[in-house]
Amino acid sequence: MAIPITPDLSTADIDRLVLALRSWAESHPAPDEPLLSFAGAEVLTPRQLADEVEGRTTNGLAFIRMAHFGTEVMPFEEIVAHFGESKAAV
Amino acid sequence: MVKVALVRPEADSVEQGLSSWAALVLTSVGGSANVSATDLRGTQVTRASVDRTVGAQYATLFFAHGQPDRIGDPTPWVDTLNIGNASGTVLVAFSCLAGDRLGPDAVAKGARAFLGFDDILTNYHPQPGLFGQVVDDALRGFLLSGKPLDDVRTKLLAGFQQIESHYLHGPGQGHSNATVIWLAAHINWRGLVLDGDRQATVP
Repeated sequence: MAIPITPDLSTADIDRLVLALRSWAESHPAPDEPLLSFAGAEVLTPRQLADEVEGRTTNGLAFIRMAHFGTEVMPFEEIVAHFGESKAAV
Repeated sequence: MVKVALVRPEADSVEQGLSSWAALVLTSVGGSANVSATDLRGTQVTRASVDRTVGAQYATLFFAHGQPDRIGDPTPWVDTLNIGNASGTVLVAFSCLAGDRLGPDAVAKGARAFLGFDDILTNYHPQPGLFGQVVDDALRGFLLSGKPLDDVRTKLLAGFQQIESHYLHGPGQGHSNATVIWLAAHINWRGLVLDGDRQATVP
């Protein structure tokens, strides 16, 4: 699927998002369990989500788009920080 | 009896997740004396079978991949070439992007209404999970209680916004997936579109 063009998030922003996702995935209680699906043909696990964003794949671009629209309710830096703050599953 | 079809190709794990939403809806309408549901599923979904089915229903609900100009990806089950078959009927597409161009195209070619998403549609797993419940709750009033199609839009909007709020500011914010969940719910509600007759009701 062609992901609509996402208004600007800089390369540095996306790199910070990747680092935060990696940190979150590595401390996740179920890092290899299906978590989220959208554009591509696979349901992504936390670890795969970090990989896809890093690779700017179709799924990765879709998540970057999600993060971009998340800034409508929370500054980007806080979104990134929240991945670092997520704790055990409740 | 009012005829309704559910179309769920289940071609991959993403569509299988969407299919679990359809299963909830089928269970909800299963006991209805007023609604007769056709379940077009898996390999039963072809361009020809969709063509035969869509025009014979009051409403058709799709649970499939999408693009701005089609439902179905890579195989287009519905696009500008056959959307005219849906003339006079209601279309609901739980698909990425199809509400962007296919929705207005459908209404321009005679569909009574098109409810869908003009951006990415996300699904949080496991299935049918949080999002499937929102979808089932939103459709039930329309399919079973005479609520207008706009009520589905309103309930989808409210349901996804409630999930967003719960994981963004509420008791769910400490969940390990909280940020993913509220981001996913956010893009779902902001992409909702409804073209055509908002007051369409199941007779």
